[in-house]
Amino acid sequence: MHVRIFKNILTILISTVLVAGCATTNYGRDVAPEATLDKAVVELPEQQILDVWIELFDPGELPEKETESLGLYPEIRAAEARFMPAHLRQVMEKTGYWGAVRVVPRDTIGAEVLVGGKIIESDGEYLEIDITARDATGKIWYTRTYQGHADDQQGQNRGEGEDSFEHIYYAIANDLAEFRLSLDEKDPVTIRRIAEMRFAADMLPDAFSDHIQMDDQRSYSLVRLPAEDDPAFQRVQIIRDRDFQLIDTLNGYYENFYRELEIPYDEWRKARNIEAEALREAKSKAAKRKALGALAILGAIAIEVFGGQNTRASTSSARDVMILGGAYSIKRGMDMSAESEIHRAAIEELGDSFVSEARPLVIEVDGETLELKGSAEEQYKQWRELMRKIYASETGLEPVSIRAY
Amino acid sequence: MRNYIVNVILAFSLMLSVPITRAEGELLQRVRADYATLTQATADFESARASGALTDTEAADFIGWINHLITQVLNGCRDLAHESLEPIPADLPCSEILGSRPSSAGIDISSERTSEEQTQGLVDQLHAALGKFDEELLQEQEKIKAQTPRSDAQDSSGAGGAEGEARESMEQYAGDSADSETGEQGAQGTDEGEYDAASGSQVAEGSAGEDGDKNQRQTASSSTTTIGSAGQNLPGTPDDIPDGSDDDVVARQIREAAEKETDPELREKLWEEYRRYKAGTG
Repeated sequence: MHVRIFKNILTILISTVLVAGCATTNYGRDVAPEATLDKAVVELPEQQILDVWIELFDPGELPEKETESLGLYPEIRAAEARFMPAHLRQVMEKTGYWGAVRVVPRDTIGAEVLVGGKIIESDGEYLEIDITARDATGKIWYTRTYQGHADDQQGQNRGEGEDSFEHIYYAIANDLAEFRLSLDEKDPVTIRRIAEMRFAADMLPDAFSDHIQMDDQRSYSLVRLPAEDDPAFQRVQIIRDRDFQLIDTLNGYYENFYRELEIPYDEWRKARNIEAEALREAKSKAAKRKALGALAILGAIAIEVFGGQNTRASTSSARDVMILGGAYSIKRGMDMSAESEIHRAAIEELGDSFVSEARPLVIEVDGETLELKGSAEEQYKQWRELMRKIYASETGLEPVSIRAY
Repeated sequence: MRNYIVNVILAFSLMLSVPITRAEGELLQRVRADYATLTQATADFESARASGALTDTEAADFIGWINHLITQVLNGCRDLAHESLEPIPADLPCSEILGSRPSSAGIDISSERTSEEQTQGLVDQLHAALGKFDEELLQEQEKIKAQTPRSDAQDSSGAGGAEGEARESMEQYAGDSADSETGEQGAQGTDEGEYDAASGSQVAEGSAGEDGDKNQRQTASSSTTTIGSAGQNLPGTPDDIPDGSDDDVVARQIREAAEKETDPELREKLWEEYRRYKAGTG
């Protein structure tokens, strides 16, 4: 009888220990190695310099598990999807490997090198993003996943303007530079010309769509180049200059957004990390307390069941202490579980608070850039029409309908 | 060609005194806006030309721009004539334009121009459109420049604005949380715990000022307030419970657990436990 009861109690207690053990957050993921930023040591010739456009990132999805998405909101992701490319731009500009590095709305055409990103996971402590780089020829340079933990949660060792995930940005910038350096000498020239001709074909397909061709893989190749004194091409180049100015202006808005969000974002991440750490610790301590309490009670029962009469008599007081102490320890564990709820609430509150700061900034920058881009697109439409008329007037050719690039 | 443009400009200039009334239709509004822009542009052009401020290139660009506006007004008048059953309001020059322009008689004016003139007219239009775009971009860039990032402004002005206060409270909050650790440490009654209790109340004020949702933040900060608060009973503590100033570590832990417990039944059991413990050690 005693043995059966003991077995039942043992099963319950072992289950308690196991459950308590499982409740301890298994934290610790692969960390990307810390990286230093590779910088160009020699100046690249002008014709070898490629401009880079970084698209606004895809904000991705929030984690489905409630414990992982605690205090994270779509609005925060939306802010990060605009903030991260702006920071990557700053890092890439420091390398000296590139011409103009700009942030552009998604699906903007005309880039020489286009970098896209998708946020897989981002909670302030851990960041995982997919990066895809391609060039104007349609060639995909690579798609890679970058992941890592904040390297300095307290921010004490960071330089001015550096991010908690600076090493991840460095890794991205280094990989892009490495790929760029692996190109043949003629490749950048070709990329630039194709970018130029794709823009020309989009702006004036009647004249330039047959200068490039696209294969089934959506790879572009150059068929021929226009004469340098071709007035239509000169006009296209004038318009392309406007396009660059438009991108620069859009970047003014993105830069303002970045600067306005930088401090609250950094503070949110710091505060959230502290609370998340406290939450993990509280949960871990609670689990340990419960486990120790359970073991103490288990020990007392074992002595009661298996101990000899003398042993039982001599340990009577000790067993009482073990049972009472064990019960108290379990109670303390339960209290600490309650404490973890407080940290959980704090994390949610921090998220709410940051959302209240980030949301208006996102709305503002989206509104400004959409308005400007929308207005520009209307004007591009008008320019295209005028360009076609001019071309028809100059050449005497009737405008033809050709696919736009 | 230039004489023709100038004649049209002069014709429009004579109508500058015609008041522009409130339009009812979108088209009417657009034509009125175009016409107002045109009259302003012609006035500016005349003024600039009279003062000799324009180079030949600038004058050509200007004429291109005015030509573009004339075309817009002309097209607008045509649309109005086609689409509106009502007579075109007299404040618009449509009847004069449509009556005087060859196109209203079904004659294509472009056929009277040489191919080069037609091309030049289109190029002028393109340049005018690009000039307009440049102006818009310039305005946007000035707007961007004028928008001093709020973060910079706050950095320099301290915690003056509401957002600055919110940020300050968040930063303060992060610091508090870092210091507070868990209840167990605070329960030791260290100086650190007392510091937490003091700063915890500041956090609650900060969050209330930020978005009005102070309940959660206060809940979150109450742990730090509780830590090291021996000597004072929190609201909701039963009347017979002493102030805890003489609590030992175990008593303080039981008290703390009772204070944090939200389930009334469990809380009462914890208080009962506290009473028993105090009675046993007292």
